[in-house]
Amino acid sequence: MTPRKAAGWTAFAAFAAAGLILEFALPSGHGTGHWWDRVPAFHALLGFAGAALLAFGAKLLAKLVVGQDEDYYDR
Amino acid sequence: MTAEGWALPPALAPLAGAFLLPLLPKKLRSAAFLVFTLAALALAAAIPDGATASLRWMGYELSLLRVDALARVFGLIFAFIAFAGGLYGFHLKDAAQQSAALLYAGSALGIAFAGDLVTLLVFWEILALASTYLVWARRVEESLKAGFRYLMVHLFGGGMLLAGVVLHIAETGSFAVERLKPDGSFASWLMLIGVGLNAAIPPIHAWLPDAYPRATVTGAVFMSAFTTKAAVYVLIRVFPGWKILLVMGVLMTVYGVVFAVLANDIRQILAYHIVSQVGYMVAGAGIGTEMALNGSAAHAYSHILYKALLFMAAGAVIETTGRSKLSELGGLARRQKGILVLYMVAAFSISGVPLFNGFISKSMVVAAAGEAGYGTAMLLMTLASVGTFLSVGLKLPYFTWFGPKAGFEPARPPRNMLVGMGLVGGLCLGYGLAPILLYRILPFPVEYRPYTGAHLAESLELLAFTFAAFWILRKVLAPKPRLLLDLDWFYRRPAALFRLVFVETPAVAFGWTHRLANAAVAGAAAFGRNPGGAFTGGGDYSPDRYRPTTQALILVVLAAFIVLGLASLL
Repeated sequence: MTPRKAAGWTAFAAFAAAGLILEFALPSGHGTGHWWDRVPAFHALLGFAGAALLAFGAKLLAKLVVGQDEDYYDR
Repeated sequence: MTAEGWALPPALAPLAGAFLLPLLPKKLRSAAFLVFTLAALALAAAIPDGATASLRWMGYELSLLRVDALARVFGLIFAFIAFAGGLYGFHLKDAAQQSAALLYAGSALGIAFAGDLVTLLVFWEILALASTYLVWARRVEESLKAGFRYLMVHLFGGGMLLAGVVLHIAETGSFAVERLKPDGSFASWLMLIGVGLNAAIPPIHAWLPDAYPRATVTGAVFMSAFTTKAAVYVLIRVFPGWKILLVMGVLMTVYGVVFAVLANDIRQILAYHIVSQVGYMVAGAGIGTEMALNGSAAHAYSHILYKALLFMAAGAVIETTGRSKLSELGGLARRQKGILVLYMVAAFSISGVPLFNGFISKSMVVAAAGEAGYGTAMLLMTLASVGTFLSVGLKLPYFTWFGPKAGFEPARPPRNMLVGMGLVGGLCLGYGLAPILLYRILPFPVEYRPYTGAHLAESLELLAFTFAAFWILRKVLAPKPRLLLDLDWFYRRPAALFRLVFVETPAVAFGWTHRLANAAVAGAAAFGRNPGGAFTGGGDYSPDRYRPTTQALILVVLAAFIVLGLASLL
């Protein structure tokens, strides 16, 4: 593992641990009373799945419609 | 025309500056720019609530000034960012561009402090013209074309606003910039379209990612601050609680990030993130509760700071490398540590990282949506936040400053650029650390607390796992040289057809008419010269032609008289 990769994963681990520990250390019943407050580590899931969804969704959108050659309007 | 009242509208300082600056010696212009914008900042801070300035004009009492907390929040940040932009662009030797920027800042301040709709409308149009020049000032063909499209779209929007205002005044007799009921009349809807266009609400948003990446390096910094936020101010002031704004705002937050993931030009990525971030403010205006309106105003304030800083950093990359496409950049970190650090301050701010100013304002809108019972809106806005960190916080810096090396050495940026960036970056951090500094100038009392355990836990989880997804998927996200079709397709692609139908065909028809008219005139003239020719077979008219016949006739008549005379003598 290169030093850069190691630094990246260390940063991730620190943030993730801080967030998760904080969430589970808090008394339950916090939040705004929506259904996702009852899902443990919901924002971790949303962060990961949301980023993946956006990456692949956008790529699909580019492939289907919006992605064109750079000279599209000059042709 | 008489002016009454003692209060000086803050807009006056930069407006006067716009006209004076080109008259000053070259060496003083950049310093004068700072003086004019500082004067505006001082006026915006010092002017007392309730101050007025009125003007009698054509029998109407125009109110140039209205000062309250909401106007002041926007006024302060407009004036400040004009000053910071002046520092960033201190090295510029382009009086026209500096004047246009002052005019632009002045019109934004004019809108924020406008006391009536007519004043607002006048500044609205100046804003469009001044900002167009900042696109044109780049002086390449691509920018000339984009600037022209930008101008056309904004003149259309201005026309909508004008129509709405005129109709509104005719219907209600009121000139006041005041809250309109959501059950709205036709006039209100026209005004909403005009204002919504400047707020880049889809489907009338495509001018923004079209024009901003093609503006000058400093011009884009000003553009990122004024046009959309002046519109947000009007939305908060005039259209609070219009539910359509909540729907459109949430749509914008997601729409912007999806396109930003795909964009290749670094300033186009940032431009799509303006659409996304302004979405939060539009949604806040749509929710319409005190907390949501506070959130909108606060987020506009934060956004102007971090977005200007993002455009400054991107501009510094363009200035030092001459390149703007992610696919042509890479590996600049070693040579651009300062720019990278300041960029990351702004990127962490826009992404809502704790301790930075986006964390304390974006969350206010999201929490207001939750409190008002709009769970889906809250969830979608949080998803958009993931996309923001993904592209502005991770993708853009990774492929610009890290990632595969592009194999060239950047030039050194002018020192003043870094000074301007440092000032704005300091405020992004300052407001993040001490939110009360921002909260106490908001229009309504603030009960919201950003630094709660739950909010911190949610943010840290969200950011950490977005980072993890990026790291795993960074090959999928690798930049590609491409052009994105957006809704500007509807006026860019059919341009050739429009030219054919409305320009070329009328030109051909005009040509035919022209030739036909010329031929008719020539014919009539020829006929007039010799009408007899039409019967005798033409030829040019000559006065001698009929002379012998006439002479003979006269001789015969004369002879007849002589004969008759002689006969009578006999």
